[in-house]
Amino acid sequence: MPPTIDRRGAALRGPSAVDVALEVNGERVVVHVPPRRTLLDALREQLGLTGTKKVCDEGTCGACTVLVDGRPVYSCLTLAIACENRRVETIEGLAKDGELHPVQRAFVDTDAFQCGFCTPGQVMSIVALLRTVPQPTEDDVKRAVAGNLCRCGAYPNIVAAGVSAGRRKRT
Amino acid sequence: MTRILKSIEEFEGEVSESLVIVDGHDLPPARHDGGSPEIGRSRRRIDATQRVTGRARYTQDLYLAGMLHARILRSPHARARVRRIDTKRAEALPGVRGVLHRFNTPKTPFRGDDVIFREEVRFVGEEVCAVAADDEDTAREALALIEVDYERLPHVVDLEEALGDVAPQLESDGNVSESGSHKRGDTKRALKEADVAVDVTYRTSTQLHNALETHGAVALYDGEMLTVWESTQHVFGVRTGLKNALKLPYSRIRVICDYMGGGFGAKNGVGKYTIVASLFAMRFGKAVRCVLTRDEENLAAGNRSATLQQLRLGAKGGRITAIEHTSWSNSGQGKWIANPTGPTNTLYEVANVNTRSYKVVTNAGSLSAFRAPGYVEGAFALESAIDELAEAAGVDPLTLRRRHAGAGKDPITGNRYSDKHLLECYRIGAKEIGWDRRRAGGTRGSAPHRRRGIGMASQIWGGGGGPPAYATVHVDPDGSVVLTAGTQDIGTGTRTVLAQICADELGVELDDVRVQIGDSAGPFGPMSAGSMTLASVGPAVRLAAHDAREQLLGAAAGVLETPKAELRLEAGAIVSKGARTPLGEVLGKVDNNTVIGKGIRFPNADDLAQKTFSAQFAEVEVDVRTGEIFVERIVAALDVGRIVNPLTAASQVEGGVIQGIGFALSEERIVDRALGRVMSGNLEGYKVPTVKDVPTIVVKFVDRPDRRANNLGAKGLGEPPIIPTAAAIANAVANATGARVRHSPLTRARVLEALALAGIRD
Amino acid sequence: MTVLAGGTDLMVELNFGRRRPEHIVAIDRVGELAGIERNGHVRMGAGVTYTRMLADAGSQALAEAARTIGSPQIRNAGTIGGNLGTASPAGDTLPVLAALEATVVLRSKAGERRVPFADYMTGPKKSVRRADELIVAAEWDEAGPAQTYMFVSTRNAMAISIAGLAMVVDRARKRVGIGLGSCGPTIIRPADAEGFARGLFDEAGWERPHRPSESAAKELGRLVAAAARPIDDVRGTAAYRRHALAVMGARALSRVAQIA
Repeated sequence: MPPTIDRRGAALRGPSAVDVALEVNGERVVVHVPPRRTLLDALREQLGLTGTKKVCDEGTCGACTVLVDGRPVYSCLTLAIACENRRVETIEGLAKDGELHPVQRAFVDTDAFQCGFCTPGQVMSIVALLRTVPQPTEDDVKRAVAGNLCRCGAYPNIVAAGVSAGRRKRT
Repeated sequence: MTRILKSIEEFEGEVSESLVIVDGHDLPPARHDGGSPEIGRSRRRIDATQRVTGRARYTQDLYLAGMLHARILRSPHARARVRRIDTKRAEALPGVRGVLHRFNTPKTPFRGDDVIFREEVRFVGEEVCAVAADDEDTAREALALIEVDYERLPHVVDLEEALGDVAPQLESDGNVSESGSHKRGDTKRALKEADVAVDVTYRTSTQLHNALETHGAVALYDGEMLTVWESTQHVFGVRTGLKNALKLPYSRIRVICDYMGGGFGAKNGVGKYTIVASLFAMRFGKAVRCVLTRDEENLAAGNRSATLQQLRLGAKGGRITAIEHTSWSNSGQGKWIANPTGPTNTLYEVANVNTRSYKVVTNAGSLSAFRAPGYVEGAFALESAIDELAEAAGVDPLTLRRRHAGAGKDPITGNRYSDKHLLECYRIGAKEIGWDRRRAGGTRGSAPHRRRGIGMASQIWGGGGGPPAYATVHVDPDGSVVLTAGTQDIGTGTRTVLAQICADELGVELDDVRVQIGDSAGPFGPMSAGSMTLASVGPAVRLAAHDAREQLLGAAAGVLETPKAELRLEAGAIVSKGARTPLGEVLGKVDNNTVIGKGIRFPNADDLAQKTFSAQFAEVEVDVRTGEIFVERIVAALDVGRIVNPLTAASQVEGGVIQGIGFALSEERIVDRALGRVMSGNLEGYKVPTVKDVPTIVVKFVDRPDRRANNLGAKGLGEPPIIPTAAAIANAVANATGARVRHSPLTRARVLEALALAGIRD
Repeated sequence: MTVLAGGTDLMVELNFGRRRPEHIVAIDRVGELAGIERNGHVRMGAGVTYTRMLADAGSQALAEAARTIGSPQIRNAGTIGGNLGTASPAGDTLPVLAALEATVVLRSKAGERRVPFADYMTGPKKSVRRADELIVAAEWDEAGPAQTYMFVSTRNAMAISIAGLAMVVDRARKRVGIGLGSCGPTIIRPADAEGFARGLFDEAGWERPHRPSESAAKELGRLVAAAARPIDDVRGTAAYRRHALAVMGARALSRVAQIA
C-alpha cells in the first residue's frame, strides 16, 4: 500500500517546473521538473541514471522498470512528482561496495542477456520478486518478468538466473 | 610481402568476389584436442558487469553538454508530392534552432537517391522535415507547427494488390521486377513424370525487427572532426554513408558504437537520422541527438518483407525429382530484396530446380535485412512443401530429407563444401525429440480437444565470413593486453569470444585482455551481420595474437638469455624448463615499449563453399477449438563448425529460435490498405514473444571444426537458428491436426481456417 | 478535470502529447479509495489495484481477470477505477462487473450517484460519467464461487484481449450473468445465452454441481457468439472473435456448472 495523504496533503503544483524531493537509491535528491515529467525522464535526464531504459514510453516493454517503495513499476507511466518522498530504486543502486547484487551475479553467470538493453528492467523485476518470494520457482520468475520484453530472446537464461539468484541468496 | 589475393565470400545468400590486400601467411588450423585453455570453454561475458549494472553506455544514454535534440516530421500519406513547406510558426517557437527540408537541404546522397528529403514521399513515415531544438519536447511541439502542402497520389501498400492490374504503377517499368533466378535440369519434364506432385502457395507476413534500442545517433562537430555515436551493426558502413552524404574525408569522420541494444539486421548502415544529426551538428557546432521513437522505428526503420510463394514439387520412387519455386517480396521502397528461393536452390540435392524471385515495390516502409533475410521466409515455404510432398508420397518427412541432404557439393557452383554434417544434425535432433514417437496423423493431446504432433525442418546458410577484417594486439610493459578489432558487439558476445581467441593464442589469462571494438578509428572490419563476424574477425584476431606472441617470445629470449625455441607463453607467464616468469616481469626489464601484433583475415579457398547447416524439431499441441498452438519443445541441432564459447553460443541459438517462434506465431505488421498506415506500430499491437511464450529449447552442437573454412574452424551462428523454426512448427501443427497452415504467422484464425478447410472438427 | 489513477492509460496520452490537460488530479494516494469492504456485499474502492484483486477481489472472476493482466508492473499500477474511467471495451475487469451486475458509484460536489453497470458504458471509451464526477467505488453482491473469466489474445502475457468472457452463476439468487469484452462498442450482456443457462440450472438444480451436456455447452456458446457485435481490428477479425466467444462460452459453462 502506498502511503496515503489526507485532504491537507493535496496541493496544486506547476505548471512551471517545481522541485520534487525523491529518495533515489538511498540518497535524498531534489529534481527540478515540470509536473508532467515522468520518473523515467527525470532519472535519465535530470539525475544521469541512464541504466533505466526508454524503449516504448507507454508501458508495454518493461525496460524502464524501477522499484517505488519496493514495488516494480513502469517509470514511464509514473510521474516524477507522484514519487515525492517515496523510495525509488534503480539498477545503479543494487551493487554495494563494488559487490554485485545476487541477481546481477546470477545474470552474469547464466548469461541472462545478449544486447543488455532490457537487462536493468529484468533485474529490477526479479529483485522485487525475491523480496517477497526468496526462493522462487521457474513459474514465479516467469510471472515476475512477464512484463519485461527481451527481443534477443534471453528468456530461458533470465528464468534460470531468477531461480539461481534465489538459491544463492540463501547461502 | 604485401600482395593482392582474390576472395569469394557469401553475404546473406549472395556470393561475391573481392580483392584483398594481405601480408605474410595465414596460420594452420587451430588445434582441437580439448587442450585449448580458452577456445571451447564456456565463459561469462567480459562486459557482463557493465551490462547488469546499468553502466554500459548505449547511444541513447549519451547526454552531452549543450546537446540539441532533433526530431523528424514524417509523411502522414502513403504517397504524395511535397509542394510547399511553411516552417514560420515552428521556427518562431522558443527553443527551436532550425528546420531542414527538401527546399533548404543540400544534396546528401543516400542509398541511390541524391537527397534525404524526397519531393515525392512514398510511404507513411517517410522523412519530410527535421527540427533541431533545445529539448525533445520543444522539437516535438515544433513538428506540429510545420505546415506541409501535400498533393496526394494514388498508392498501394499490399503485396498482392501491387501485383494486380489496377494498382498504381510506382516505377516506370511497373511494380514488379525480377531479382534472381536459378535453373538446373528440366522441372517440367520431371513434374510430368512424377508419381506424386504438390502445387501449393504460401504467404509470410511482414516482420518488424523491434530491437529494443531504436535507431539513433548523436553527432558532434568540433570544426575539424565529425564524431558520431550510433547504435549500429557497422561503424564503417555509417562512416561510408556519412562520407558520401557530407563529402567529408574518412579521416575527419569517426563513428563509435560501444554498446548497442540489438539490430537484427536493421542497423547495417547510415540512416537519415544520422545525416540529420550530422547536418545540424555541423551547422550549430553542437552535439545533436536524433533517436527514433518506437512508432518511428516500426514505420521507417526496416522490416522483413511479406512474401507470396508458389511451389510445385514432384517425387518419384520416394525421391524428390523437381522443385519449382516462384516468390514475390514486398520490398516497400527498398532498393533490393532478400531471396526467398535461396534455400530451394541449395539446401537439397535435387536434379531439377527452377526458381525465380521478384521484387515488388509498394508504398510501405522499406525492407532491410532481418536475421537471415529471405531464408526465413523461403524455408517456411520450402520446408512446409517438402512435408506436404512427403505426406502425399507416403514417406516419412525426415526420411525423405535424408535422401537429399547428404550432398557434398554446392549444387549451383559445384564447389565442395568445406565441411558439412547435416545428416548428423538430423540424427542428433531426431533422437533428442523422440522422432520415433511421431505418428502419421498425430497423437492425442492433454485434453480431448487437443492434438499433439512433431515436425522438423532444416536449414542452410552462409556463415563462412571472409576478408577484409583486421585486428591488432597491443601488449604493454606490464603484460596487459589490448585487442583492437574492426567489429562491434551487437549483443552476440563478440567482445568475449574475440578475447577468448586472443587469450588462447597469445597465452595470457582472459582477464588480462581488454577488447576495443566499435570504433572506426581502429582497423577496418565487416558489419556484424550475415553470421560472419566470428569467422571473419576471429581468424584475424588469432593471427594478431600469434604475431604478438612471436614478438614477445623473441623479446623474452633476449631478456632471459634463453633460446626462443625453449620458451612458451602460458597463462601470462614465460615458461622455460618449468620456470615461470610473469610476462610483466620480463617486459619490465626493457624500457617502456609496446609490442604490436597485427592480424588480417586471409581469403577463403576459392574452390570451396563454406556453409552452416542445422535442423530443428518441434513438438506442439494444438487446441482444435480455439486454434491455439502450444509449442512445447524445440530441439535445435547445429553444424556451425567449432564452438568457441558454448555458453554464449547456446544463448544465441535460443534467441534465434525465440524470434523464429515470434515469426511463426504472433509477429505481423498490419497496414491499413486505404490509408497506408501501420496499425501495429507499437509493442502492444506488434507482438514479440514474452517469457511466457517460450517453450523448452534444447540446443545441440555437432561442434566439429571446419578446418578448411578458416584458421579457427569456426563459422557464424547468428542466423542459422531462426531459419527453420517456423517450418518446424508448421509441420508439427500439420502432423498434429492434419491441417496445413500456409501463412505465417500461424495465428489462431488461420489455424481454424485450415482446420475447417481440412474438414476437421472436434 | 483529468484524473490520474494508475497511469496506465492517461500517461500514454501525456507522453505522446495526445493530451495536454491543464490540471491533473492524482488520486493514487487517496486512502479512502483504496479499501475493500465485504459483508455479503462488496464495495471495492476505485483505487484498488489489480495486484490487490489477486489476493482479495470479492469475486473469483475478478481475480481471474486481474491475473490475465500479465505484467506485475501494470497490476501494481492499474485500478478498477481506472478501468471504469477509461471505459474501453477491452478493459479486463469490465465484463466481470457486467456479469456481476455491479453498480458504479460516482461522486461530485453535488453528491453521490449510483449507476448500474448496464447503464454506465455508452460506447468505446464513453460512459455516463460527467466531467465533474469521480469514480469512487464499484459495488456488487457476492455471488459465490461459480464464476470465471476467460479471454483469448495473441500471446501469453502483456496482451490486450481479442475477446473476453465473464460468467457468474449466483446459485443462491438463481441468477446467471455473462459479460463479453472486446466484442462490441460496449461490454455486451448476451440475454438469450443467460436465459438459456438459467434454464439449464433450473433443470439441473441450482444448489448442486452438474456437468452440462456437450450439446448444451455448444448451444450456450452459439448464443453468446450470436449476441456479440465484433469488428475486425489489428488484434483479430470479427469472425475469429465470434468463434472464440462460442468456444469460451461453452468452456465457461462447463467449468462453472461443476462449481457449487
